[in-house]
This record gives sequence, structure tokens and C-alpha cells, in this order.
Amino acid sequence: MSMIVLIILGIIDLISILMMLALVFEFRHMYHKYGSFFRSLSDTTSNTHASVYVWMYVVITLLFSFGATLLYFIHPHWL
Amino acid sequence: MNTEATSNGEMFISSMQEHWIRYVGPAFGCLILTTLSIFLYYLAGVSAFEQEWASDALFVTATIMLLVTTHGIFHLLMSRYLSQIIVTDKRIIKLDQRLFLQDEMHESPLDKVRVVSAEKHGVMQSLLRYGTVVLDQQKITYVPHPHAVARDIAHVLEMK
Repeated sequence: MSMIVLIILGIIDLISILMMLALVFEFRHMYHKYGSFFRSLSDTTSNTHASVYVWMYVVITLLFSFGATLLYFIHPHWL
Repeated sequence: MNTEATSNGEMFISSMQEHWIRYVGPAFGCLILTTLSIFLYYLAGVSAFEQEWASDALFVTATIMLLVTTHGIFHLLMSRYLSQIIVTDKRIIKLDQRLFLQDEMHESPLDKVRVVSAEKHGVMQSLLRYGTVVLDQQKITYVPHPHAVARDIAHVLEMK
């Protein structure tokens, strides 16, 4: 039983990480597309902290994805 | 007002992100989903020994909900980051971005604009300082400090 759940959780983790990568690459693509457009208008419009969002997203997604799988082993004993 | 000439002679005036109020509804939805998923984790823990199947189903559902919420929140944050309103002496550009869902750039040339006005309706818009900038018939919504933006545009129109 727990093996089936672990496989399901593994698939969910994989989908989650792939979704995160897709969003990060789309964000990067759009950021560079409009970043050059902003720079053609003004240097002052260039946005900062974009990488902060990306790294926060990567860390939190990995933490939640693998954290949930680890949690599965301890959840019957936490109460 | 920050003005700066570009290589093609266009003068940059200001740029801003849409007001954060636009994202309060989806953010609230994400908060409810997170709370619900934590509650499901709790139920999964409670029923782990008595009803193993139910506990596992609750655990998987809670994980899916938590991850969907995480992706939703960051999708929202990154989309907002890219959505901009840019004012130059020749045009107003509004970038509407929703990653994978929407990629729109609306451009309003200022040489055809006759009237510019700013609107704030209701207590929320007055308290949170956002509203609508109206250029003839075209409306730009969720503009932070719309009167200041309208004043900047009117100033540009006067210079022409």
C-alpha cells in the first residue's frame, strides 16, 4: 500500500518540478523579451530582484515536493 | 516625473506595475487552499492507523493542493512582475502578462489623445490609492496613483 502511495507521490513530485522548470524558463524568456524592450525606452525601468522570485520558487517547490514525500513516512506518528 | 531621452528621441516619463489589489482575490484563494491542505494533512495523521486507505488518499490530496497553491502563487507573482504600465512622451504601453496564458501589449499613441482624466471610485480605491486613467475612450485600470499619472500625461500633451 505505502509503496503505491510513494510511487504516486514521486509522480506528483516529478510533475511539480517539471511545471516549476517550465514556468521559470517562460519567465526568463519573457523577462529577456521585455527587458530589452524596457532598456530601449529607459535604463531606469530595468527591474531588479527577478532572480529572487525565481530562486524562492525553486527552493520552495523542491522543499514542498520532497518534504511531502518525507512527511509521508512520519505522518502516522506526529500525533 | 523622471524624463529621459532614448536613442529614437522618445522621452521616458514613468513606469509602474499594476496595483496589487488586482491579485488579492487569487491570493486569497491560494490562502484558503493552503489552509485546507494543512487541515487535510492533519486529518491524514489522525486517521493513519484506523483507516489507512482514507489517510493515504487525504495525504495525496493535501500534497496536490499544496503544490498547486505554490505554483499558483508564484505564477501570480511572476506574472505581476512582468505586467507594467509605461508612459513616454509619445505613447502609453500596457503589458498584460499571465505566464503561458496571456501575452498582450497595448499601445496608445498620445498624439491622438485629446482628453486625459483619472478616476477613483469607492472607499477601496481612495484608501488604497489606485484607479483608472482614461485616455479619450480608452481606460487603463488598476493604475497606482492615477491622478499623478494623468497629470504627467496632461503635462506631456501640453508640451506638444
